[in-house]
Amino acid sequence: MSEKPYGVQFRDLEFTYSGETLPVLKCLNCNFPKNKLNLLLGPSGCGKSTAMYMLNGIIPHAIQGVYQGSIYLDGENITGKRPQELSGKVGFVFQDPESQFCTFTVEDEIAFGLENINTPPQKISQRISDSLAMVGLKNSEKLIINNLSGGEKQKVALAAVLAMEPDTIILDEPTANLDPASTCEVFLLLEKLVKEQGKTLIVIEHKLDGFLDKTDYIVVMDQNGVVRLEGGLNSVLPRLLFDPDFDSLKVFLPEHLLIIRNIYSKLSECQAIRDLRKEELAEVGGDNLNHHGYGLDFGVKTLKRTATALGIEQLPVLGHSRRTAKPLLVLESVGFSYQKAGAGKLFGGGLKKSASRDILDDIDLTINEGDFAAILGPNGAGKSTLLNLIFQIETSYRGKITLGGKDIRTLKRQKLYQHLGLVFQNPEWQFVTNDVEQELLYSLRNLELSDQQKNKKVQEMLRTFHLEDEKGQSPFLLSQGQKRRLSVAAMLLTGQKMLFLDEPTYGQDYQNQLELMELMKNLNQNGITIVLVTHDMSLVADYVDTVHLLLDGKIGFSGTPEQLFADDDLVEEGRLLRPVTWELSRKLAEHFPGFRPLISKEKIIKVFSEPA
Amino acid sequence: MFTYDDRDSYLKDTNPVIKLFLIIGITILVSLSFFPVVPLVTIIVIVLGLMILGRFQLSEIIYLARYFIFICLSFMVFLLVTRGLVGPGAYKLAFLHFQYNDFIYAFSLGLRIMVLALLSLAFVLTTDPNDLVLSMMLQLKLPHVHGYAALAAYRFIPTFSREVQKIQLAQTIRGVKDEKGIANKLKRPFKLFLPLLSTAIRRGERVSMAMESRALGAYPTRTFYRKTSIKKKDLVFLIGAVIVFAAIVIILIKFNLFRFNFGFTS
Repeated sequence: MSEKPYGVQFRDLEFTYSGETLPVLKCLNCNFPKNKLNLLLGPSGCGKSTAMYMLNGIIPHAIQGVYQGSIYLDGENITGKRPQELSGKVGFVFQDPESQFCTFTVEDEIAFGLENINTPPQKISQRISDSLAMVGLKNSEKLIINNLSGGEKQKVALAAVLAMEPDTIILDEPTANLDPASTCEVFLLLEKLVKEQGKTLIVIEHKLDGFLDKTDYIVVMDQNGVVRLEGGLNSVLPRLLFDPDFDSLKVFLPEHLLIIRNIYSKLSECQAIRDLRKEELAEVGGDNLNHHGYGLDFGVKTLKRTATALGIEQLPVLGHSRRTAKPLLVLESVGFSYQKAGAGKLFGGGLKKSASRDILDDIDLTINEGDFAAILGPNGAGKSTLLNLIFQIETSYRGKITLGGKDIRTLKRQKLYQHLGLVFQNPEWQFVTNDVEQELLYSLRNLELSDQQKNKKVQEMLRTFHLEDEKGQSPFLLSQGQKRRLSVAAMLLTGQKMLFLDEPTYGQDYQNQLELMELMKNLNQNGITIVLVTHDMSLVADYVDTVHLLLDGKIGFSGTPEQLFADDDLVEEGRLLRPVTWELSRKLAEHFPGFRPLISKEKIIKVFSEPA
Repeated sequence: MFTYDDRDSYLKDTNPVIKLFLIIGITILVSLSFFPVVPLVTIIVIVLGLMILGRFQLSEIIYLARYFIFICLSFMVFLLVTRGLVGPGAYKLAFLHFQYNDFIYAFSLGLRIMVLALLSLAFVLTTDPNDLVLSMMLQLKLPHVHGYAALAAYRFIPTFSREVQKIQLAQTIRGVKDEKGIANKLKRPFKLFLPLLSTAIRRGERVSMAMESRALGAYPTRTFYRKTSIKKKDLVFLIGAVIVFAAIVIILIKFNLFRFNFGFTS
């Protein structure tokens, strides 16, 4: 085993968090080769982070529990060493850029680790500039960390780790809080660190578009913390896509590959697909780390092949299933400007000091009953202000806002909130009691119902949102997913027919985003109108049927997402980034004349798996 | 309003520990006299110090201290009114009766509070938190693990204030603001506190993991890339301040304006 070029080896690792009975990891065995970009894949809660905490010693030293098995780093047994001892060998970059710094300036932050290992001050300065150069932030020693963008912060975090010269660096969802442009930069940087500096990287990542192709080696874990697949990209990926044995394995992949995987598993009974699968798998080369790429072209090629095998010559054009357009929330000629300096508040947080400029200027907007709508727009376009008006936090606006035909100015706030719900980035913000059941009862306290009736409603909600077993618990001690469900349940108790979500995905891990959005989809199918206020185009692609683009305080566009993304001017003006699915279906359209580009994964899957 | 203002100045470059010593000294000095002249003169010295050595303009100082000024003035008025209601006294204003000592009492207490507020303001405005922690570790021998923990906590303050706004809004929409009854109104701050605490604990855990994985506490000693030390300049500042205050005390004693007294009654 020792001659294999493995950097990190896990042998029979087991761990049970103290206070819990079930182990997170049972007999984990896998390897991460040296000088490679390794990707660790697996569903949320499968123990990926736990394994990484064990590798760098946070477990069992900062987080206690029952620990078994051994870890080797370049042949040396490092099991149970303290993170401090390992800091020169294994570096760790965390998900949230805000909570891994302890100083104020870039140079102090990078110096921090070096000082801890008694590096002479004369040497520190050189190491700071070297590590900043590596992450592409030359000459930024004196900058204040709080003023940097999210992407820059993650680069500083990486530089701070690099300065300690570890050969192995773990990155746990490093791009979860970053915008697409910064995400792309971080991925490029990771590739460079492996190629130019010979580092061994182990990355946990769910946003794989543009990243998967850069990885060399993949380890895939299942829900139970067992390694199901391990090897070079060329051997693991085809099996994930085409091997029926892995159909049921939950795994994140780039959007275009998810589409392929879904089509194949949907049509698993079809003989043509079975033959194709065999063919694809026959081509799988051994454990070869050099690969050809699984980008969009691979996606188009595979989909074309699939279409040919299925005898599809023309892809169906999906019509829009428009519901009856019954207006629910209507804004008529609404305008607003902040009166005095510093008056900007609540949504958006920042102070808006330009006194007389109109933040919103003549907004006409209609949200229909049953819509799954999104309000999009660049920073500063007035999205937050618009929410402030709809929720009557700001009341000094021009024009008229009606809900179900009623002017909301005539409604008391309490009454208004019985019809409108708002889901925040962080579900904890809205909790006002220390008991799940009380939390729901709180929403009903102003209704004229008997205690028995209230109780009945609450029990129903607990059932609907799978929170019955948690009813006596503190909302703050629930899992992320449960907190989310509770916060939504509390917002729907008074029979709200309309729910707003304010940047729902920011800072949430991927699994939680997915759960929330699936929940919203479900609610929407049950007749609740959903409005997202967001930057996240992948949400728009997969869930939204109507978009409203805010540009300079006006509605610049209202229509379907497909219409929006087809318009180059609007995309540029709104500083929007087209979703990957759009590019994919544009490329498909080159091969299938008459095919109208789609952006939802579900719809693309549908045109292949249910043609005509 | 109450945060470090990064501008190069003599006060900024002065070792924070020296500034702390001076603050303690001035606080003791002011509490030794129960007569408004000492705190009044001290206020003038602090403001002049902030203007000359800290490069702040008078208008800026007044703006930054506006809430303190308001609080001190209302406190003085409140004390005067409560004293005046009790009566009797030589000075009359409507139904209030004052003695000479009532004014001394109100102004002394009010101005003392103003001195403390201004001292803290001056310290916070001119002290880089990083320098403060460094000097606590290097000059006062605070263990470095504690020093960096404090610094990491300080980093969260701006995030917290953003979070408070968000929580307030979320709870408004839940209807917390519309709750009736005094008991409910009194409970409101606690409702804010719980979500805030919960995120704070989680952040704290994450930051401590990040710091440990960068070797905090690996060795009993550590090196310092940037150092604070007590330089000649700091001593000059300290001695200068002592001379200024000594002179003030001597002059005030000479004109019988110091009136040495610990007590709160006269």
